[in-house]
Amino acid sequence: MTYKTDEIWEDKWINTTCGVCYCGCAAKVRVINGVPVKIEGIKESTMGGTGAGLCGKGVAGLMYYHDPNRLKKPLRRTNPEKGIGVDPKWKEISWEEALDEISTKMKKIMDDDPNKIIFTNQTMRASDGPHNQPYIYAKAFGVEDNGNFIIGGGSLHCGNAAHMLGGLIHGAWSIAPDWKYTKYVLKWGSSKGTGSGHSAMTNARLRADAVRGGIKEVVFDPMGNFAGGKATQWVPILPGTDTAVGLAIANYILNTLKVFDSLYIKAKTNLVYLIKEDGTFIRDEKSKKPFVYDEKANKIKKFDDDSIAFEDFALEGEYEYKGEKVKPCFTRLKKHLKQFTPKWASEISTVPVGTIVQVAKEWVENAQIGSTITIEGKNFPYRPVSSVTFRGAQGHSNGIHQVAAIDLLSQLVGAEDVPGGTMGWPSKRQKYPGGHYERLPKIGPDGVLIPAVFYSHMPWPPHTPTIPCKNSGCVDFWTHSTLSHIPYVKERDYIYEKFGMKSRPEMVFGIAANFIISQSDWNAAVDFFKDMFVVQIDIWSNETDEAVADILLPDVSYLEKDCWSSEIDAFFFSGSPSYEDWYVHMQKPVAKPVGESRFFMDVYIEVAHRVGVLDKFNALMNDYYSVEDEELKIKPNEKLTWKEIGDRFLKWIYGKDAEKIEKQGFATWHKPIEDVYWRWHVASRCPVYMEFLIHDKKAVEKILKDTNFELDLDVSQYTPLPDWFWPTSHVELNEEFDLLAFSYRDILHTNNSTFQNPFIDEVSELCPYTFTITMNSKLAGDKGFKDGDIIWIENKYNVKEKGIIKTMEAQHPKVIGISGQGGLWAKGRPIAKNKGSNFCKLLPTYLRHYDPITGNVETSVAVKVYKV
Amino acid sequence: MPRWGMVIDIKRCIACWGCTIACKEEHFLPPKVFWNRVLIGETGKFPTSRKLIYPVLCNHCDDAACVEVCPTNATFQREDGIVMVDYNKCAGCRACIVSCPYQQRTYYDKNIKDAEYFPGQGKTEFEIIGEKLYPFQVGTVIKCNFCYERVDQGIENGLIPGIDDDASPACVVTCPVGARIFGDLEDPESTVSRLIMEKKGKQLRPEFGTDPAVYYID
Repeated sequence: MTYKTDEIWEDKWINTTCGVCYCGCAAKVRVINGVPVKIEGIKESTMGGTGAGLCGKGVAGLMYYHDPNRLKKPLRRTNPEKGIGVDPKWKEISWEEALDEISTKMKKIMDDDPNKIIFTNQTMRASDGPHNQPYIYAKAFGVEDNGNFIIGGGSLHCGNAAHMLGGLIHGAWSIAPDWKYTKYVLKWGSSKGTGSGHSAMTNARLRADAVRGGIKEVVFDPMGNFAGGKATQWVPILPGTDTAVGLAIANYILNTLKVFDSLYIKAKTNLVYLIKEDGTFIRDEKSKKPFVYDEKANKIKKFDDDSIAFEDFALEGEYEYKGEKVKPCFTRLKKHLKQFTPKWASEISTVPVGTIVQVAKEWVENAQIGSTITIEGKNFPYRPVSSVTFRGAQGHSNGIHQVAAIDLLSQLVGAEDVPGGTMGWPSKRQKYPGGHYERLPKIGPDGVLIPAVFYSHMPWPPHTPTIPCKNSGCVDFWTHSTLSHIPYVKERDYIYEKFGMKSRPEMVFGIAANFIISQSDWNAAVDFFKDMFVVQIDIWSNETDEAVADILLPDVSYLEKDCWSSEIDAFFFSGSPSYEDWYVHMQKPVAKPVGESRFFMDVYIEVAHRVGVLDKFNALMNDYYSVEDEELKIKPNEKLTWKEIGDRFLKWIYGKDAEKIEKQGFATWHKPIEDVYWRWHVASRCPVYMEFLIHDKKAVEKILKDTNFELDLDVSQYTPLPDWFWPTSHVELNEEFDLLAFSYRDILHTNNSTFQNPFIDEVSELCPYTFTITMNSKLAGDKGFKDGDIIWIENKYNVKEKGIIKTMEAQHPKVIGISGQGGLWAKGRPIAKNKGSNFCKLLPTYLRHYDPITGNVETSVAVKVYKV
Repeated sequence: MPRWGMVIDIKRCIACWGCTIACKEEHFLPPKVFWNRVLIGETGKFPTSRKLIYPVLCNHCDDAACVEVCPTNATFQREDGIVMVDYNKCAGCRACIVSCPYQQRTYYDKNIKDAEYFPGQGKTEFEIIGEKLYPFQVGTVIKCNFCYERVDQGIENGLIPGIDDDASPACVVTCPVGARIFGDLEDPESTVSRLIMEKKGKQLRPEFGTDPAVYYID
């Protein structure tokens, strides 16, 4: 009953970075006699949970190494037929054969048009490591922007609108409450601090301390499970109606309570910019800078004119400019909000009027407008209220308005990137002492922040929609989509034809992506991808691989990976958003690669070499890390492994400490407090009034008219202030399809990779909700269902999914909940097979089901349910 | 002599199952065997219902029913309160399983021993080394032992259980939200004693009269 210590000849812990979800917590792995046997967090690090804490998924990551289903050799499809449930009849081939076929095909396509190659990013790290490198890599092939990317694991459910606004407002990918100093948190379809979102365990640790300290958390969510189940107050809400409640609260604050942080609005937003009747800014002809009104000097001036004191910016009033009447945007916002009464919002969302008013009052009371706090001897505005959202609320056909309405609450009280408020992950990271690499944001046109680092494409400055479209994502037209929806849209061929998209993809070069089953209607996805030459690098054969892949290459898991770069660029995503020192972790191998598996970055490099674009990749890499030391640069014609590149770049990044850092697996240095609470230290303004959408609208309307575009694309959503638009799922409700199905993140699962982990699988079976379909108890009773019944959920487009009912009190009586991406069937992942239900397939995928601006898919769907 | 006990802070716990899985790794537990579980349910009616989360493990009761019923003295309580099973004495009668009001015991039979994490695909290196390093005996009863190896080894190395990770149970170390606190219930100054006092720590089902050493605060 005790350890047989005499059997142990080796017992060591190796520091690495967790790879089970995208958060990248610090992790260390115990290896006994060469066998990885245990995973914990790293006590010293701020990246992750309390002490050496790590969540269940992270601990379970061990099984990614031990899984006998891991790919050990490259595989080639021998069955020419592709599709769901079709056996690919894999045949083992050598790496040489595989690489030769891939590079020959790629070269041929390249000679024709590099935009005919689609790449993927990835949001699960069973195989992940470098973040931005796939984009750099694609660039080496001549692919210019994000339109040739399809999303890896999180799919378009994830964050097109959240990331766009995160970038525009915070210069960051993601937002979180400042748990250390906040007192009052509003969460809208987000589980930040209760197990999901970026830096999940860091936030969970910080939140746990905050709730012990007595903060109030109000959670608007269709179910009271992860975020709602832990909330001080759970407010059941219909999916996609958060905008209505947010706008009603904003209206109550501005027009009834009449309390707001006017100094903040004057100094830190564009609501002071003067607009004409048509809503566009008046601008200085030469510099193109928007104008404001100086109340003290009684003069119109450029917005960044140093002679205006913040308090003298006009918020209201009407002025004249070149014979035209102009007003500050704030005036329009105030008037615009008046239509959104709590009663109106209540009818849409089912949130009681009393709750809306209560939250509005509590929000303002807790905001302590005008108060300051001294931390480390420095004075900051103190606004201990935070309003955050993520996947749930933003994943709708009105996504951009959802996020903008939720953000507006923080704007009104000045609670953005100040102690206690809503925080972007720090938008800047200064270099390691003695090192060189740093990322600093810039101030762009109109005073809006250009993020220091961003994935896929920079949200600012915006690009006007144009045609012809150069790539399958048509991002020339959908300029604001982080990653494009068009490859999944059913009418894509029509769109390609109308928008002159001639680069119809012929190849996918994917990394562990399961894009066939994780986005929307599976068949629509298969239709698109089946005719392409699909290459995937993965650790197993997943559903996408079996449905459409031609060649499957074995990747190493994170436990076998030597990846110096994993966290270096991801600070605005994986670091601590709080005032805590920087910790940057690497992935260090704890075991030898399984079979013949190879790290995908090394495969990338080999293919680039064979295709003849390695020089370009090398140059892009030198440039990305701004390597100036000639000795450390990758030279033209030099073919290095990812580790060899790291040996040089780490010296550039960390200077003389590189070796020490490499050895311990992480670097740590001080994060100055002004870099955390940066809002008043950076001369930028939040584009609360999204004037660019007015110009976009004109361009979009012209293109639609010129091309005789007949599909339903709601151009009215291109409007500068958050407004109410019914999500398409609500529009499709009727007597027969009477319920809204929605999905949520279970703490145990990251997309679908975790379904193949036996530790996670057996624990999922213990949880009443993880593998079941949840339904409000009364609703279930009315429908004649009880726990354990097997039901069909069917959408209006004849797609159905089966599942087991679990009744719940804490669920809105108009919705059906399904966690994550179950209902899997790949032969290559037997543990995952037939577990849970798949929500994604139920999502219809016509253009009208997407946010016209950001490309978010509508993640609730009108369904009917009946017993099997 | 210390009396080892645990406080579980329900307010902090987010039901991530880190404790459950860390315990499985620490003790190389076979498939479907759990020394730590999380009970999840709800109470009340919509819309004011509340989610219930109770991480549970052996309570190492002061007046342990399992110790009382064991006919061979295989189940015994150490002076520091940890309730243990001596596999060499256990006859596999399973009276303890029936008597434990908290359902924390598992009968380790051949089916469990033979079970594979990847059914039909053979045992992994993890399972093989586990059987060698941390063997169980078929026909005996197994359960949480408060990671007594860590506690004993830690003390031997001059560490303090509940303060130093290497002297504390694996589930306590792994909890990412600091919801599990370990320490000496006899010491009124210990964190566990203070929390039980200040936050009015409750034992699960005290009416069974077993006086658990695991307390819950909310």
